[in-house]
Amino acid sequence: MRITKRHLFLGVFGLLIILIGGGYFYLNPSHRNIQEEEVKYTVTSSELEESFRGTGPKTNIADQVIQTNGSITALDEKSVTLDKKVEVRFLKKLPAGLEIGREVSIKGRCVGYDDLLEVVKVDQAILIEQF
Amino acid sequence: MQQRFFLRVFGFCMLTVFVVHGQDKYLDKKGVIVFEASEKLFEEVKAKNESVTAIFDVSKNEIASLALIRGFRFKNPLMQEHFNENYIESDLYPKAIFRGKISDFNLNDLGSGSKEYTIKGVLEIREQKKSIEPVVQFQLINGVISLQGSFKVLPQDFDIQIPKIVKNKIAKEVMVRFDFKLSANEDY
Repeated sequence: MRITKRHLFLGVFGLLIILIGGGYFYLNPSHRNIQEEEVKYTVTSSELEESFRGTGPKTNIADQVIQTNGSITALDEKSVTLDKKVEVRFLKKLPAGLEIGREVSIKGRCVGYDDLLEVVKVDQAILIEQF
Repeated sequence: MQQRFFLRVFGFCMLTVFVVHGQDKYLDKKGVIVFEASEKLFEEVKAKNESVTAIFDVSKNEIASLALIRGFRFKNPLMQEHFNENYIESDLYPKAIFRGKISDFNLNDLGSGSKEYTIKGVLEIREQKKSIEPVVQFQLINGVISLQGSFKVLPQDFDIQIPKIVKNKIAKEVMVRFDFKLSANEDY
């Protein structure tokens, strides 16, 4: 088959589209999807709190995907507090069936330690299990 | 008789202690802070944090607020990454904290109409302290103190270097707006 101007044009055009598209996604990556990321640390609520208070192991858990568990001590329309130590904000609405006193296991991103409330904050969380 | 009188006094004291204690501190765990340093014609430089803590001690007229830097969300994730890694260095300095005082504030003066007060305080980011005096609109609705205001700061105030290459894309002044809904809360 002879390569005509038309083929050449189409080829160059196609290449351009791919480059622009690639460039666009390179320059505009999407936000992290915590649900799909692998859990980096699995810790209890106490271990999580201790890691920020300086009594626990010196690892920087902030901004990492973690899995933690504990008993619900407070809750509102979007978040729960575990053992008065970890405040978990869910990605979407509060999962059904959660109530004070219930043991749960969640996965989310650790945001950091709030000295005023004395809690570790976790956001973009999903419920893994409730007991 | 005497015993009953004593009981009444005791009961009254307990009630007073309980009420005063209950109303001393107002708390918001889901406060909102938005900051913006956009320049015209360039991509917006704006981020929002919806889980800011604010505590208002009415007995001392003192207010404290804490925002975790990692809690700020930008539209552009790359901008968010640069903000955390290069500008604030959130691993080293994970939070922004404000402590301030309001002079001649009285909770009883508050009503559903908004009232203006100036909070004098210090904002600390990256271990750098900057005095600010935001004018704040106060409102009291169904026992909830609403508090809205804004102030401006400079990146230099907190020793933040803006690289030359992006200098004209970021405004010199950073506008910070906040919105808190504080309710009486003993358990925090």
